Amino acid sequence: MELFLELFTLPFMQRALIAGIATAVPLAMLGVFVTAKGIAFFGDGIAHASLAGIALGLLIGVSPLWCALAVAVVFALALALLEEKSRLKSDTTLALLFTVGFAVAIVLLSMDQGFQPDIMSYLFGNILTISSADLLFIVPFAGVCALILLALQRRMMLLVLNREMAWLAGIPVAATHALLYTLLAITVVVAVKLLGVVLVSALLVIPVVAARQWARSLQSLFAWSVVFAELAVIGGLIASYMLDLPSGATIVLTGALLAGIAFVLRLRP
Amino acid sequence: MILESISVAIPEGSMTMIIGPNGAGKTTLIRLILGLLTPTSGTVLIAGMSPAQARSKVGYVPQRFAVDATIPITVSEFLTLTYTATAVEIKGALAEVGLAASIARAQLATLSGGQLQRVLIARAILGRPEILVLDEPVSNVDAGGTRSIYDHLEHLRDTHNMTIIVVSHEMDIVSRYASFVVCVNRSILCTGTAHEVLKSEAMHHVYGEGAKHFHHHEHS
Repeated sequence: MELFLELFTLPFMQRALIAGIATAVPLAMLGVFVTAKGIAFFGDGIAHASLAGIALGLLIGVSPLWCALAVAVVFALALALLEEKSRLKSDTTLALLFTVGFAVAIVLLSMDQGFQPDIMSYLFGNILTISSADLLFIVPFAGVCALILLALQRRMMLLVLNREMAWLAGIPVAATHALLYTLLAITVVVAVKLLGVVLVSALLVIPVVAARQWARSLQSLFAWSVVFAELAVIGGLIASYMLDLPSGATIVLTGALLAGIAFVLRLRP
Repeated sequence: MILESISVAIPEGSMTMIIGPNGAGKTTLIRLILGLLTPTSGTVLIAGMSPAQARSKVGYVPQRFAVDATIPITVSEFLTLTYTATAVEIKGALAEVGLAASIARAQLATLSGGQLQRVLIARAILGRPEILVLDEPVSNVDAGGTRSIYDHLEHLRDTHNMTIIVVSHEMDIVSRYASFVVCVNRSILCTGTAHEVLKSEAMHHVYGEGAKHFHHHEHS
């Protein structure tokens, strides 16, 4: 119990909790869109592509998160453009950009001689590495993304469901499509320090899977997804500290456990 | 699909049906009318405006529409994704397509093909369009449901003076409901009333002996 109470007094845990609580909201909301659009691996692709930015930042000594953000947004816009202008499917363009980004990251990392301890925290998430400066990056970006999603939620959903109907409803489809992908890119990068490149996309999908067991409407799916994402992040961070486990993996496993419980409770007569 | 030499004026307040063989360019013609495609030459005018300017006047029911069961969006939520509508207006729109008000609470993914088509039409009419465009609206609907949907479309045209443009494959439906028919096969083959088009040489050329049956059906 003492250990449990102690964790809330530790500055690095406070920072991790603030970052996690802020990030979980846009991640969960975006999860509903990627599930509806059938691009559940979008987050994974963008996160891996953003590793090129992280590697570049580490190599030239500039903030890896800002570099990752720039690279992820460029990749997201390229993906939106390719979908608009080519006949390629989302998963094909995603696979193309994801592997190219990852290859660039490997080449950049190979240019930097010696062991890269920082890269491990970006790959798997590390709550100890979230600084006050990171919070000033994470919280505003997560907040703005969540507010934009809240404001454009219904228009974006119509676009995801049917592009032609969205166009006739007066929605600027190409711009809204690009905005959705940009918000995804920003949110994924914002969550990288907490969850790691490898696992960040799990928090897009798992809360929606858990929420679907209870939700009976689109609005309740959004609401329950946010609730489950928050529970996964807070529960995962606490478990990560108490059990001395990597934060990203522990958050994902907590989310999966919650989804499993939700599924079993729904099946119960 | 490339369309050439397209020149047609669709009468206001008509139930216009676009017919033609597979690959004739019917959906391309619809996409040009909606402004989703831009013609390489020539213009499309809707009440004197470009399709982009006339967007708010046009309702659209797509050929394919499916919602993943993972997304529990209700009929009511779907109807109001971009329109502001009261419960009474939603009930009214559903009634106009023959659906009970209680279906508003149902999830879209649980509806039958016929119910989903009716909901799509209800959504289109909530935007109070002057023109309603439907691309093969009954492809997943049984014969009884098909008749019922067209009866409701006919009623909508008569009560709201709506121009209805439908891509259709069912010649018995064309002969029964169309007030104006456009026969397409990469270019406009013929236009006119159902009676004129179904007995035309062009129809016999495109559909062969089968066209005689439709012509016969029209008179039966």
